[in-house]
Amino acid sequence: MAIYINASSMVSAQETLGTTKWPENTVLSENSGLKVIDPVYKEYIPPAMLRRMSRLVKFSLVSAFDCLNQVEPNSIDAIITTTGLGCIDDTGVFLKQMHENGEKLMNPTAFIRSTHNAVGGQIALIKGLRVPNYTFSQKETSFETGLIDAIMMIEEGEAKNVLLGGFDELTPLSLNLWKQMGCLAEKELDKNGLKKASNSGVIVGEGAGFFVVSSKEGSSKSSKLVDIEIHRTASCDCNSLVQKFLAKHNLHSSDINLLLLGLDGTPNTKNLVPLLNTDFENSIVAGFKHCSGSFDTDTSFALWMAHTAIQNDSIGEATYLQGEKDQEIEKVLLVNSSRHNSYTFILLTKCRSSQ
Amino acid sequence: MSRKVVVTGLGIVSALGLGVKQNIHALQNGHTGIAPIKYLQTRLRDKFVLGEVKYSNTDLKSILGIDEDELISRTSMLGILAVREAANMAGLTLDELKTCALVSGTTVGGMDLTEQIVDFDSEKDLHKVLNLHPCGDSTEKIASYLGIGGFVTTYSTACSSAANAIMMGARLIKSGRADRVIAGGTDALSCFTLNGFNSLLILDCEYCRPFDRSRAGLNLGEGAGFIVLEAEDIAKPNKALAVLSGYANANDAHHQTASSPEGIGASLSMQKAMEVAGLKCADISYINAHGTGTPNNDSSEARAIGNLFGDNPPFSSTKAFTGHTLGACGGIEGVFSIMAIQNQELYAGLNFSEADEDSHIVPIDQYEKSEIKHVLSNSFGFGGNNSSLVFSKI
Repeated sequence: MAIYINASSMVSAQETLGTTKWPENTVLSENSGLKVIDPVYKEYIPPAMLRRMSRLVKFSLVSAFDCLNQVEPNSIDAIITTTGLGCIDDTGVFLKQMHENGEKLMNPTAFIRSTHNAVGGQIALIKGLRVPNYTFSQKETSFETGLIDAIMMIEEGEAKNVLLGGFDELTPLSLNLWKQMGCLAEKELDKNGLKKASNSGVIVGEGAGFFVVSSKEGSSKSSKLVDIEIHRTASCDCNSLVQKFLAKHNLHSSDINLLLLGLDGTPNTKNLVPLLNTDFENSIVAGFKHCSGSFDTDTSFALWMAHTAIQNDSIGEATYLQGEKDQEIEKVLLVNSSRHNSYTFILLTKCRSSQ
Repeated sequence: MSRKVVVTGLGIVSALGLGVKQNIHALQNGHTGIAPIKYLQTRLRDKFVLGEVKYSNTDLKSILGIDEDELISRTSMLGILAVREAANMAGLTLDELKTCALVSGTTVGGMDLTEQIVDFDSEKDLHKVLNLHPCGDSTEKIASYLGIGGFVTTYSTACSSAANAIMMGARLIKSGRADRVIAGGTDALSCFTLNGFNSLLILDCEYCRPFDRSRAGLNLGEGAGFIVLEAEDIAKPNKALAVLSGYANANDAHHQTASSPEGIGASLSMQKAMEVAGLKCADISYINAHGTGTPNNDSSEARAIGNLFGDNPPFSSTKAFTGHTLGACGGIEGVFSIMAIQNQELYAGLNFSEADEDSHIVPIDQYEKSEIKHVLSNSFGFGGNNSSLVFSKI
C-alpha cells in the first residue's frame, strides 16, 4: 500500500523551521552540543499556556502546529509522538526537589510535565483532537517504531492522516552523561570529520520533527514513503542488508539519487563508512549528524532532509559528502545507525504526479 | 491482510503473587495484595499502603538467576518474570522466540535505580545507572534475557501504556509484520511516582475504594502483565485461550491529568472497541473497569458506562487487589479479563458499600461463576489517553 508524507516541519539547531529548503547558513558546534534555535513561541502557542510549559514541550508543539498548519487540521485522525528520553529535564527537576525536601509534599508541576506523552497530550488538548494518541520510547529507534505504527494504522484503515513527531532535548544532565561516557566530541565536527570514524565523541543535539503521514498524496509538497526497516543486529556488513532492502523493491544501489548517511564521526558508525566506497557511485552522498547533532530521535531530522531534498532536487552544501550533485533527486535512501547495534533504512521517492 | 488474533499465553506478577495461579486464587478469595509499605525505601513509609510485589530485588535476582551484583532495574525483572511465564504457557520454542516481537508499556523504566542518585553532578558512575533509565531499555533487557529477536518497542502513555502495547501487537499480526507478539507492560514502584501522585493529592492513605461514595484516592501498585498474541492461522492447536476481538484508543482532550466529568474519551474508546469487535453493548458480559478509586476517575468512568450501556453489564475494578500498577495495569487486567473467560467467573471489587448520589450503576461486590463471552477492559492515562480492549471467548 502506498504511504505518503504530505507535510513536514523541523525545529532544530539550523534555521529549518518554516522552510522547505536547506537554510543558507549552517551552524556547527564545538563540544557543548547543538541546541535548537528558539522559535517565536507566542506565534504558535497561546501565551497563557506558554508559562506552564517546558522548553522541550514548547519547541515540539511549535513543530507539531507548524505541520498541522500545512494540512486540513480536521483531517488528522491519529497522533503518534516519539521520544528517547521524554521530558528528562522535568524528571530531573522533580527528583532534585524530592531529595532536597526529604519527600515532603511537593509542587506537582514538574511531575505532571515529566510524562513521556506530555507533548501528545498537549496537542490533543490545545487542538481539541480526540483521535488515537500514542507515544513511543525505544531509545534510538523510537521514531522508527512510531513510523511503523503509523504505516500499520493506515494499512489497517484505522487512520488516513497521522501526525507523527520525534523529539528529544539536550539538558545539562544529558550533556554531563555523554561526557561521563567519554562520548562527547572534543572539537567542532564538520562534514569531512563525519567520514573518519576516528573521533572519540559525537556532537550531541536536540530537535523536534513532525510529519503528516497519509494514505493519499497531498499537495505538491508530498513524497512517497516506500518502506522502512529496523535491524537489531550486531552484523558489521551493513551493505549486504542495504542491498537486500533495495532488492525487495527491485532496486539497485545505482538507482539511488541521494544516499543519506547517519555518520557521526566516531567508531559507533564505522559500519556505514564502507557504503561510501561501494556501488553508490551514481548517488549524491550526504551526512546530517554534524548539523542536527546526535540524539535519540535524530532520524526525524534526516527524514525532513530527505523529504525537502526531493522537493528541491538539491541538498545543502554543508551536508554534501561526495557524488554528482547535478541530478534530479527521485529516490532517497536513508541509512541511520545507533550506538546500540541497530540500523534503520528508509526509502523515500518522488511522487509520480509531481515528476 | 487481516488475520484473527488469538491469545495463547498469559504471564503476571503483582501484589497478589507470582504467576497466574496465585493471582487468580487471590481474586477468587477476595484477598488483597495491598499492604503497609515493606520494600520501597521511602520516607512516606508510614503514611501510605502499596500494592508491592512481595519480593525484594535480591529475591527477584535469585529467582531469575541474575548475579547479585548485576545492575538491573526492578521494572526489567518484573517484566522478565511475566514475559517468561506467558511464553512458557504458549509453548513458544527458542526458535519461535527468535522471530517473536515484544511490545511493552512502562512509565518509569529504570527510575528505581535513577532515583537513588542524590547528586547528579558528583556521581561517578552516573552513566552505568542512567543507561538503564530509558523506558526502552527495560524492554531491551527483557528481550535479551529471553532471546526475543523480533521487532521490539515500548509505549509510554502513562496508565494506558500496556493496553496500547496490546493494540499494537494486534496491528503487527494483522499487517503480517509478525506472527507472534508478546505484549503488555511492566512498572516497578518508585519514590518518584509515589511522591508525584502524592503531590497531585490523589493518593488515599487508607485502602482504596473504587466507585464507592467515600472513595478518596488510589493506592499505587507495581507488577507486570503480558499476553502472547498469535495469528490464528499459525497458532498451535488447542492453545488459544481467547480472541483479542476489539481495541480502541481515544483522547479525552479535557485536561492534562483529569478526566472530563461526562467521560467523553472513555465513552469513545469503549464504543470504538466494541465496533471493532462487531459487538453491541448487550453482548458484553463483564467490564474490568479502570476504576482507580480517585473521585474524578470513578465518577467520569461510571458516567461513561452508565450513558453508553444504560442497563450496564457486571463491572468491577480489580485495583483494590493490586493497587494501580500504572504502565502495567492494562496487561495485568488483560490477564484477569482472559482468566474470567477461561474460568467463566466474575471478579468482584473490594471495599464498596455505597454508590455516588448521581450514579445509578453499582459494581459487583461478590465473586461468582457466570457465563462470560466478551470482556471489555479499560485503561485510562494522563494526557487524556483512553484505551479499551475487548477479549472474547474462542
